[in-house]
Amino acid sequence: MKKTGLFTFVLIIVVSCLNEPDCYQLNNDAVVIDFKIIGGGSDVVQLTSIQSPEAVVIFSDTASRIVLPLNPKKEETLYTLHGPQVDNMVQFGYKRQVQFVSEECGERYYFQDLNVLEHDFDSVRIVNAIPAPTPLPSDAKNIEIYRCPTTNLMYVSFNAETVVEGITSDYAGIILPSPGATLKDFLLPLNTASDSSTYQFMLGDSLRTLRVRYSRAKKTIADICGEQTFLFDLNADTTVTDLTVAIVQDSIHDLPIRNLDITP
Amino acid sequence: MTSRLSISILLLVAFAASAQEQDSVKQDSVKQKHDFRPTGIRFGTDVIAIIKSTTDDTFNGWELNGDIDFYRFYFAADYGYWARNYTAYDAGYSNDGTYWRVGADVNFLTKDPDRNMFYFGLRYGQSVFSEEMVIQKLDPVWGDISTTLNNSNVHAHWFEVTTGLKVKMLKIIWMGYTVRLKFALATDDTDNMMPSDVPGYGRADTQSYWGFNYQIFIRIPVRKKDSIPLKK
Repeated sequence: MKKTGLFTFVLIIVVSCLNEPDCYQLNNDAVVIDFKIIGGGSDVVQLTSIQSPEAVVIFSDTASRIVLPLNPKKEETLYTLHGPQVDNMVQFGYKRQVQFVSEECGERYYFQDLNVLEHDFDSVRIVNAIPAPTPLPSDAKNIEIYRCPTTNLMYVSFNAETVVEGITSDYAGIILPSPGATLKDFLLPLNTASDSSTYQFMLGDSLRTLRVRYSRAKKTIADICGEQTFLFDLNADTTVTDLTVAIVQDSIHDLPIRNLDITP
Repeated sequence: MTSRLSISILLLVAFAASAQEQDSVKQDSVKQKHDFRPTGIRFGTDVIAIIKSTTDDTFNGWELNGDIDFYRFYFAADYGYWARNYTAYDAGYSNDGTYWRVGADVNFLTKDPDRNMFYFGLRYGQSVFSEEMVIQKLDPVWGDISTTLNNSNVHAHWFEVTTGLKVKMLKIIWMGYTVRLKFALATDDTDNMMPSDVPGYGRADTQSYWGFNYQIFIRIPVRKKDSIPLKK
């Protein structure tokens, strides 16, 4: 009786523990890329398309994170990231292996030793050399792509949507190329070679002036970026400015933080 | 986690049997000198492998088993062959190879006059096999990714914790089963294809794997048993 009980007990364990393969998250072909700013936080990039020579267009979007699949036929995959102004390329190298899983699941592709063979970004860092499975785990991240910060873009906000016929500056010429645009939030480039920048706004029939003064400091935050001029202590020169201006943030950040509130 | 639980269960079963054995030894006041000379050799085969080969289109294999006793300890050895042939929606896989295992069992039924066994043991296993996979697939992003991949003469080794029963049915005919918890699989590095199924072990992508054999043995006595006293 005791022996029979023991026999049954062990048999139940055996049957209950026979493990069948799981068809969930078989392939780990996803490279998760975060865009970042050197010395700053997350970047937001605008992409019109992403292409690989062997694949169709992957997607187009504005994002701080993208996910790119690896080519299972090769041990390297080249991507071109098309933006509104510039294109960038990145080429991944990796080891890939195929494994048969089961008749139900078929085969799986296992990728490892991910590295960046070539790129034309400012800087790239491998965070995790094992690509992620899909659906993506919440903590998935493989690569961080960095760019040098832009140090001269001032974030200006009108208190209401305003029709602007034109904006010109004393050093960059025409800033608003399309007359009659309706603006609420926009960026104005500051002159890093001077302690002030002056802008003229054509609002309806009237010409209004804004002059901002600021302090400058030269710093090298990363070798790849070289020496850059950082701007702070922003203030409106009331002797020239005939707009109502409130300073919200008196230093320039990338990504931009609202610096001026203007009541036209 | 699953393998830890499995090992724990096997150890628990073994411990329970061992404790029972120690109790009965304590009650036995007569101290005896153990005779470690072998009394017989058992040869057998795995019935499940034979049945599976005829009923399962994906499997073909056989396994030979043998053991020899040294008092309550048994030296055990197995040799086998298995081949798999799987067909998935967009891939086909086949392998074949041989394997062997060696190890030792401890019998916890030392008072049994028929030398029936409830045992617990350890094994070391090795396999040499070849495998092939054919993929015919049209990927939505990368297009045609059809290919044929091969691995030849791949070596694999692993360990097993075993438990089971062996019971005398007729004069020289024995039957029994062995439950195996296989673990610590290591295979050769392979190029484009990862090993999928290791003969003697099973799926290569799991950290531990259960195995089950139902065996028929012939026991050839080599000398008369004289070391096991009759029950009082």
